[in-house]
Amino acid sequence: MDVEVRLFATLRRGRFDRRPQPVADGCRLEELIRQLAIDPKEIAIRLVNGREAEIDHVLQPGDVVSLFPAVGGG
Amino acid sequence: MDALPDRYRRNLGTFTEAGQRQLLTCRALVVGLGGLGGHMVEQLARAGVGTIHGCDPDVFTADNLNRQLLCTVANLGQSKAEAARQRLQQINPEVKFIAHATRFQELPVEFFSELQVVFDCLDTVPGRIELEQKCERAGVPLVHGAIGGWYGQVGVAWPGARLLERIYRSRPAGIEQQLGNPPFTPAVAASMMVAKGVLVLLGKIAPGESRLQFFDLLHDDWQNLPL
Repeated sequence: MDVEVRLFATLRRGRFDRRPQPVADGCRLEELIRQLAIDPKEIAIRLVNGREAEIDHVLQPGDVVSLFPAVGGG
Repeated sequence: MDALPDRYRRNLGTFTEAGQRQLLTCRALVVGLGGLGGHMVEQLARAGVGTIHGCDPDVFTADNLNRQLLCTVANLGQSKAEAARQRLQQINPEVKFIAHATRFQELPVEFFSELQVVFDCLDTVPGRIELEQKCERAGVPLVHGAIGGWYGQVGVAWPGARLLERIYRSRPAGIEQQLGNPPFTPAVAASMMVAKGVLVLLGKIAPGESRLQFFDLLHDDWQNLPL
């Protein structure tokens, strides 16, 4: 199945802005993040279909996954 | 009722006269008077927020000159809180500015309870989490802003939302460690924070209505995050 992945800010570097991503049935969010070669520590906010999602969230076909890094400067 | 001073005339239309008068009675605290906080106190004073507390234990250093509005060649080495006091005296002596050249941790919870809004303009993640916890104990809403490179986020966290705890979890810092802090990103974030703070003070963001926005000035991408 495919999900749509949207990456923001520095997570785009060497990757992409958005694209469909093939994943196995029953794939969890943490497996998708591993598949994208992103260190989970780089990610602050995880949304699935615009809602905050836990790392063990099971993805469904067509889900839109948005990932944001932490920003902390002032 | 006395006429509003001319200095607020161009605020009207954006604020109603009643709204402007309401702001003149409000009490706000800005925690951190660097990149975000400098712009913040300037705009709050021009908006006419009646009592502004500014808190920062630091002094200006040369690497603040690229982005910190209140930092000048002449005041390097000076207290940021004192510089803010002097600046606000020049632009609006009608508002009361109280400088706290100290860490916010030293201000008592009872003091926080007297405020109507607190602005998180800190530059360390653990400090931000601690400030959110303190605001929760005091029952006061927190307007959050953070930047790194071309990117920033701004939010409103009402007591109980634990917005910053959820965003940062146990992370010590963010992408600003690699990307630095340029001149324009803090100005954008601070202006958004002031707008949100004014909305909170005027009752136009309802209690409990926490929100977060993420912006990317490199790709002109603005996202509302439903947290």
